Amino acid sequence: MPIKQVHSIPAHVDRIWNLAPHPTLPLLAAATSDKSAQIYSLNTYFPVAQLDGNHKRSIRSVSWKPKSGSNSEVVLATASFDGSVGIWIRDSERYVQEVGSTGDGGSIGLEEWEFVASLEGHENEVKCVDWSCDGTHLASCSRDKSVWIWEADEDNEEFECLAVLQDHTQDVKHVAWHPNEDLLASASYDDTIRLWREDDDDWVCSGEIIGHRSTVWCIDFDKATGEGEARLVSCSADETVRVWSRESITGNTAHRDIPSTFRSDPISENWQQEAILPQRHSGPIYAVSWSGQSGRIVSVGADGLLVVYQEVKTGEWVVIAEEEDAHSVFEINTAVWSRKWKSTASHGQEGDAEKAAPNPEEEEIIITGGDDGNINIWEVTFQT
Amino acid sequence: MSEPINANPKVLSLDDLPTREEIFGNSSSIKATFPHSALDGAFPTMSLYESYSSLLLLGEDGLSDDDIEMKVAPELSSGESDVSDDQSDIEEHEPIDEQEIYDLISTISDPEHPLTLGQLAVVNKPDIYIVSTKDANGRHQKISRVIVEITPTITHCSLATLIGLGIRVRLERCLPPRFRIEIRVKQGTHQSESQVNKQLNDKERVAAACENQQLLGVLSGMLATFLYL
Repeated sequence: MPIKQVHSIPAHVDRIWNLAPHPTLPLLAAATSDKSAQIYSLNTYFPVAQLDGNHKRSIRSVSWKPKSGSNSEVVLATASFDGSVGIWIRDSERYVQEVGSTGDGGSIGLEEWEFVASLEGHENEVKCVDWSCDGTHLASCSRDKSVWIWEADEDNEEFECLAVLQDHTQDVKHVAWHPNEDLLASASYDDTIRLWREDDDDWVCSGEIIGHRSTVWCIDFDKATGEGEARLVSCSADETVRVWSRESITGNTAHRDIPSTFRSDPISENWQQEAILPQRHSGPIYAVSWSGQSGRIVSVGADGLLVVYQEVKTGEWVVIAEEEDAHSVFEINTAVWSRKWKSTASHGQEGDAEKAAPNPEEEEIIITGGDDGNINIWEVTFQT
Repeated sequence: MSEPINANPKVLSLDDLPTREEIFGNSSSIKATFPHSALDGAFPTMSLYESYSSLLLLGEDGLSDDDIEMKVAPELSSGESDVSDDQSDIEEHEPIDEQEIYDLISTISDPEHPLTLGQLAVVNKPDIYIVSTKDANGRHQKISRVIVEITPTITHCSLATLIGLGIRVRLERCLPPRFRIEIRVKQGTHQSESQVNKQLNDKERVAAACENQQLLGVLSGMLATFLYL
């Protein structure tokens, strides 16, 4: 199945560390080594905002707060090597009309963004930040070996730290929330993945996944699992991509009112390796993404290779597309699936675009970012 | 530094260090005329590259047959031809070899002695490997690996990571982006070999370390080249 590059945004001269498409809006956030984050329109691929001036070192990771219920604000979290997490909110009054296909080219600074909070506490570089599915929790992780769980107030200005989780023995590279449970996974330089959940009022480590033979760089959950099920994909410097599934949850059955520390059966999840995906990469694999739309997985890494996998039956995966030198000779740091937005946006307010449905074919794209500073947009084309 | 970790290292004479002349003798080979200091070694490639890229600005018409032939090779995605591809073509004319890598890194100063890594035999030419692989069609792949194995002067040398980082930074700054750099401690020469190796090849840690001003200060001291070499 062929893969084709449909667009390339020459975003930066420097490294792009991480990319995140907004879960419901046609916006893409980029974390870069020039201490700023950029917002691009996925309708036009033009930049619409530059978030800078607040972080003192590279921004390593970006995460959008999902919109839910009364929460209508557009909120981005940024994790930086300066040891802090930044919270940014789009000014809903002042953002102006998005540049359409008017031919006058894109320009930066169309949207007004406000830096509203800096979350301090990590001892050194924050490597990753992620909002939970309903936006109530924010997780961050650092080279200081800890994972922090934060809770925001309604204005996203006051953040309370609910837990500092210190079970990892080395840097924590990545955190990811389950798509509908309040379950967090973290990946580490100590070669393990850990799972965390709330047990009464305490956040506890509910599971540990051992199997990778080197740093686990990135993890992502299966978004299509049924009630009570969970699967995740992980990629590692050991050159493998693996899928894990939760076999059972035990403990925490009786004695609901006894504090977890006194209970004999703390909550525990048993995770098993379901598959090692076909091995294509040579060198560390830096990113994986599990599509909520097609169920496909994409992986990228230091070798510049982009690989797309599809599950033919449970636990059995095949490579359906491969692209060498996807960022020329440069390493690729991030890859993520996104729904495909109309690239021929009308000239209306962006507010209209927000309501517009994606293409009827429900096509999806892969967005990758590399050391060349480019953001590349890919489509897997179907053979009929 | 008050208490050197290794107060009494073995030192090689400058004359014993490998140079370009050693390979080519005093023949009329063009390469033999290159001075072997790090900076000079890097310049010919750079100036060639620069003149080549200015050529590119004039459009493809300005290229000789030779250049065009090389540009045919890989199927460039979406017809994009960027500088780095052309840069790797240049290297077919002027390949980067182990001696050039040695010249770049042997001149780095040791963090605690007024000597170079070459003189201390921390960096040795036989421990430098350039690995380029060919694909199924026998074409050289664009990406090559440079592996440097360092030999710490003592097995508990706590400066091994700093030295390794200095080597990595020098190579990252000097080599074209198509090179993947791997720095390892030579087997059996350090107590915590695997830890040091893992750290030195963790891209994120290296990037973060390079944003640490204090560490950068130490590194730039190490990387200041000895002009008298």
